[in-house]
Amino acid sequence: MNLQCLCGKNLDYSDEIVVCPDCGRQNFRCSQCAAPVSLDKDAVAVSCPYCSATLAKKDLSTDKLFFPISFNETNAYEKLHRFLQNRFGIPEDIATEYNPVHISLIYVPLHIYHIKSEMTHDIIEVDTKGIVASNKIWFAQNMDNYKFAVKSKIYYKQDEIKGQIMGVDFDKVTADNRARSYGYELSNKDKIRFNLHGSPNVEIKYDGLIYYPVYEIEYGYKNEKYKGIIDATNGVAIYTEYPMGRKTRYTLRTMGAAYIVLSMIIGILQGIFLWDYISTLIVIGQGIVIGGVIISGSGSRKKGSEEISSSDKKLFLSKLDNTLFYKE
Amino acid sequence: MSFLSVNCKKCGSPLNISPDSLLNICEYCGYAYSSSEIKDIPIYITPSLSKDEIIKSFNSRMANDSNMRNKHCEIVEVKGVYVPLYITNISAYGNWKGTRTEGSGKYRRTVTLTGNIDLYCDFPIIARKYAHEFGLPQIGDFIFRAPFNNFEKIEWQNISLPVLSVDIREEDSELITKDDFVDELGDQIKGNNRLDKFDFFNCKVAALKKNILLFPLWTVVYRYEGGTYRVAVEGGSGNVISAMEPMFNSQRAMYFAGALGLGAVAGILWHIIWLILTNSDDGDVMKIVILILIGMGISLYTAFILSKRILKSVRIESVHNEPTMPVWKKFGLFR
Repeated sequence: MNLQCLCGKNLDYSDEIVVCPDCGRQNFRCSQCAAPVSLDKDAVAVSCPYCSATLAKKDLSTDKLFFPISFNETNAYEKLHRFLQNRFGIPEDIATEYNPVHISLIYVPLHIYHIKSEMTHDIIEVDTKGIVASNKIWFAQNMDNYKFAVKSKIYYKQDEIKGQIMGVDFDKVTADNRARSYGYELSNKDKIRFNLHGSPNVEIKYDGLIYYPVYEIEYGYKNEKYKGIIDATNGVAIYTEYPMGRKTRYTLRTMGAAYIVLSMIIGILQGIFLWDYISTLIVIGQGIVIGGVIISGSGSRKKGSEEISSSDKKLFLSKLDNTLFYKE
Repeated sequence: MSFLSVNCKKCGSPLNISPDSLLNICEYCGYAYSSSEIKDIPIYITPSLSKDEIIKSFNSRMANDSNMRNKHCEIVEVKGVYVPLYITNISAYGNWKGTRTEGSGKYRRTVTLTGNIDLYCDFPIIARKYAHEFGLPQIGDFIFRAPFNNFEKIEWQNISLPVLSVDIREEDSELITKDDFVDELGDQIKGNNRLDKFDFFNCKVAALKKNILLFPLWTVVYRYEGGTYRVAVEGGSGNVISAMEPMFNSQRAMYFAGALGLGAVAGILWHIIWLILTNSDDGDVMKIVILILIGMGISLYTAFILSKRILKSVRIESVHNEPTMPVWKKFGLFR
């Protein structure tokens, strides 16, 4: 029986995995549907692309799941650079002074849960949540609210992964508690929406531990260093630090100070014309608070993440009686 | 190479497959590989407009936009994908009871409303757990406006685009569909009837037939003065559904002036309260004072929000704005 490798070489296939002598890929037939499967030389198991059956080598010695990366280090620097270019206040010379210092690929362990939170039989919320299982990453909190693309899992031998694999610091019991906690939060919107009281019935289903790749980037601008975290599967900037240009900082400080001064003038004028000095205090008070907010935005180091939509948000529908396939 | 690659059975071209994907379409010939889990679900497609037509839509939108007309924008990238959707026939029935407040002062009263739910419709959800395509939530209404065809009957070469993979199982899609549908129905009933709250909400939802629809979504990336921004165009009819734009200094100045003005208004409102309190003994006056205090709070809060906008990097305009609750409802005011 013949099997053709992805590189085009015809292979004699019996009943075992055949390693292509030209490219090193592993070739075999799916035990469930007999479809041809051509696999990276380092992988030990994979889901069949045709019937989704999990196929594994008989001597499988690992059960670690890794997500594949979609682009290399050079692309990661470019994605970060592109993201920085439209940040408010970014210095004009960032394109020439942006200096990549260090990049590392980190695999972050995530406990994956399917969570169902039921307030009543008819009112439920469902979600898939990744709980970061490492204490040792400084950006764990930024990833806590991030929506991971939970797909495309491939099994790899750990020592063949080119990236730093973070250890698991939270056991499953701790992760269960966090998932359950998240399940209670899921129903908060429904409580307000439907005026419900009490606690929801939360069911959590553990879907396993996976290792999710992110690039940790350090770049330099003039004499300062800044950090960024880029999702290695889709290029989204999860967290970035960036410099604010001197011109923008001075503008914001001036704007903030102008706001405080103008509020004082308006407040004093109101007090004089209305004979009401509490009104003066209110206007000056709000001027100080808001002027302070504007001045606080003039720090030399800013933080941000990418403003793009994710599909955890529902589709916007202006009405519900739409029909496309349903015919009365 | 991290993704599993095989050759297409029909045309022999390389087929990049995500191992967990339940539906893979050959980019070259359109041959569909369905996992056994979804092989019984019919697949439809909304044929996409061409890249040139999408660019024309983008240019037209920029030329007509009050902020971006006469600005030189350079298109950096134009790419489209087909987004997979589960569209489920839904049958929903039940009833609800809620209250709203009408009138003011001594004419204020609580009105109780009831209603029945008896609805048959098609309800869409995105057939992927997470996707970061810009503008994706905005395609909702446009799904129902553009023509569509059975996937097996189309000429793929004329409309080919990469197809995002399906990674939500059919059983999970039913749960998500019911969850999203009930939430949406509750919001719409509340909004249409101006309810303050539900006393009860009872709705039984049955998911009937399921279909998969592939809907085209394009992203145009443009550059303006060193920054890059995105515009989302739905590929069925060519409508621009979401646009990221730079924040101009004139807009920051407007927010600045607006915040300052609202701060002054807060001071004037306080003065009105002081006048009322010192010149009237009427008990009903307290209700007016409370209303004005609320107005003062709203002015100060809105001034604060405007000041935060001064510091934003980009603005996003969408056909549907995020359904944000008005400030007074957020604080339970003006019930």
